This record gives sequence, structure tokens and C-alpha cells, in this order.
Amino acid sequence: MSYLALARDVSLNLGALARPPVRDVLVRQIERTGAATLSAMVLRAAGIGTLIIAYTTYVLAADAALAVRILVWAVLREIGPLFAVVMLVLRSGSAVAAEFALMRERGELQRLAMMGIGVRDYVVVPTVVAMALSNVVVTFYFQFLAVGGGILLSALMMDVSLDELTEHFFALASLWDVVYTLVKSAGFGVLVGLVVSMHGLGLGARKPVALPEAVSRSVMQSLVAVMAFNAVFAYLVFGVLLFGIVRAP
Amino acid sequence: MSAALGGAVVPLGARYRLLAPARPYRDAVLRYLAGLDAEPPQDGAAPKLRELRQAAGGRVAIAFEDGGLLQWLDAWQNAILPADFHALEKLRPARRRARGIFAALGHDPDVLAGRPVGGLSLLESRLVGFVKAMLMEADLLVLDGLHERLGPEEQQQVSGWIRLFRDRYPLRRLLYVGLHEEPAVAEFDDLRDDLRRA
Repeated sequence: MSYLALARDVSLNLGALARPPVRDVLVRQIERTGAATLSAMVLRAAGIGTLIIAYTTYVLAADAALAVRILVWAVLREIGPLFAVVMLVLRSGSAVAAEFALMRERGELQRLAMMGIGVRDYVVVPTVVAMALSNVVVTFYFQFLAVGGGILLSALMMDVSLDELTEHFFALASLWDVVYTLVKSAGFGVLVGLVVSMHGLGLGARKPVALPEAVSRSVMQSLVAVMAFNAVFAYLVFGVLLFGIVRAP
Repeated sequence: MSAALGGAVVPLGARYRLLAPARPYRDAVLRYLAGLDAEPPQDGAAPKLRELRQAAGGRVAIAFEDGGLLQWLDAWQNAILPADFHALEKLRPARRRARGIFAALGHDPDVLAGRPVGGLSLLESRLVGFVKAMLMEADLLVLDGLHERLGPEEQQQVSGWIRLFRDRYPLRRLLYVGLHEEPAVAEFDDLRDDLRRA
């Protein structure tokens, strides 16, 4: 089975979420993926926000307006979604892939099939949806902490007023940034869910691999898929690819 | 009453036993009866297995020898999973039925709630697997070596579960698939003998 076929199957079988046991799996996966990632986020996010403002203010000698502008561009559009999904892949994606590979090796997937419970409906659909939802929440949480923490810490530690930074932020941020983040982070989550399901459950055309390799492949291919999606998404939205080397006609 | 299919007859309420020469054969039988494989293992039992599967019309439940349980669910969630999954009712009636079956088998269902599968004994795992299979309301219940690797007292308990199933559903068919001859199911018709008689 290819990724496209799996993605199509998942989208066509979202109705499986109406079944109570599938919803239970969805809630479980959201708890595991979302909560695990959120708890690791606070200091890192605030630190990144502060670092961006400090760097632009001191090293680039920028004023508060430019510092906040760079914060908005970097954190809201690029670093936020990417940092969140990297955390998701490393903390939760690897764990989910390992759990799926164990289920496969213990013969639980075959038992499910013998009970008339499709692995795709019961395991893959809720996992992909959970990854997408969790990543959206984690991304917004990261952005909130990075921007809020960055502005707050910068006001405390540097010669910039909190009011000034806040005012610049609200003047620059827009609803478009929210929509952009939402679509991008949901797309990232779907990709990670598909990749960990494919490798963990051994759904691909090739012979299923052992647990360590399934985890390794899940992590590496998730990151590659995310980077590729990020580039394509940037090209589709802004018409720019590879830092401006390729531009839309 | 009986189900006649292509000249063959599988009586309602029939009980069969099938001695499997090895675990792969038993797995192949289970996979075939569950509808995962198109053909049964090719030996003398194949025609009768085909009749059984046809007669059940896809309504087959398997009580696995290890319970067939998922590690990420607790014992209670495992017991109701297939019935709950296939029911679709919002009120989740499988829970009520499961409580009734556990009580009839002399077990407190509340003890199972929240209990990890890894902490269950072999007998307890089989009990959960048996209740799970009973809840599926299948026309054919396949018993996957349920008496194997148990002591005499535990085997008696398992025989009690099977009696309860037969008392509740006298018209449903049973098939015991085991790796050894089990005295506890000696009264079941041998699937191969039955075939020879036919």
C-alpha cells in the first residue's frame, strides 16, 4: 500500500470515528501525543521567542518594530509549526510507531482482523486524526508561549517596553497567520500519522521490518515528509521555494 | 433443524472437535473460519470446514487460547471491544450484556475494569476472550485450544463456560480446535470422523 492509497483510505473512512471504540482510541492518542508534547514545550518556546528578539535587537541592531516583525514571521509562520511537529515526531511519533510494531509482532493486528475489526478503521484513522488535532494544538501553544514569553522576557531583560512590543505584535499579526498555521500544522500532523502507521503497522508493500527499524524509519521519513510538505506549502502560498531560489512564475 | 448446503448438512447445535497437527495448521483453520483466507488448509478436514463456514454465514467468533487481547486496553475494554465496535449504538449495550455473562460465569466484572491485560493469568485471559467471543452472537463459536496448558480444576472451569454457552445458545455450533486430544471435549464429534461417515 502506498502513502497516497493510505491517505485516501483514511479520508474515505473518517466515518469510523462514529464507532465508540474508535473514538476511545482517538481520545487515547490525543492524550498521548498532545499531552506528551505540550509538557515539553514551555521553556523551549519562551526561550526561542526571547532569543529571536534579543538577536535582532542586539546583533542586528534592529528596533522593537523590526524585532517583533521578525518574531511574527519566524515564529508564527515557520519556526512554530516546524518546531511543534519535530517535537511531535520525536516524542510521540516514535512511541506510537514502536507501539504499533509491538502490536504487529504480538499478533494483535491479526487477532483484530479475525474479530472483523479493520486495522485501518480501528487504529490508523484515529491515529492520523489525533496526530493532526494534537499538532494543531501544540503549534498554537508553542506560538503563544514563544511570542508571549519572548515579548515578556525581552521587556524584562532588555531596554524595550512591553507596551511597545505588544502594540507592534498586534499590528503585524493577522487572521491569515492563524489560518496558515492551522492548515500547515494539520497537514504536518496528518503526514506524521500516515508515516508512523505505515511503518509501525507494516502496511507498506515491502516486508514489515522489526521494531527498531520501524521506529527509525518512522522518525526519519516523518521528518523528510514534513520538510517536503513545508517547502511545497510555502511555494503554493507565497510562490517561493528554497529560500527564494525558485519563484512561482 | 439443520443447514443444508450443496448436499452437505451442518446441524444446528452441532459440536465438533478438530485435532490440529501443529500450530500453523491451527492458525490456518482460524484464519479461514474468520474469513481472512479464501481456502482452508488442504487436508481431509477441508470440506467440512467449508461447510461450517458457509453455514455460519460469516457470523464466526473465536475464543483464542491466549484471549486474543490488546495490550493497550484493559481487561474489561478488551471483553467488549468487538461487540462494541460492530454495534454502533450510542448506548453501548455490549457493556450490560458483558456484565451479565461475567456474572453468570461467577466473576465480578468490576474487578476487570482498569486491570491491565499483562497482569491476567492464562485462565483469566481466556475468560475475557471467551466472554468477548460470546458477546459477538456468532452462529459458530470456535474454541482455540481453551483446555490446553491448564490444570484439572481450571479445565473444569473452562468446561463450565462451554456449558453456559450451550445452555444459552443451544442452536449455535461449536468447533474445538486443539493440538492435543482433550478428554473435556471427547463428547464433541470428531470433524474428520463426521466427514468419513458422510
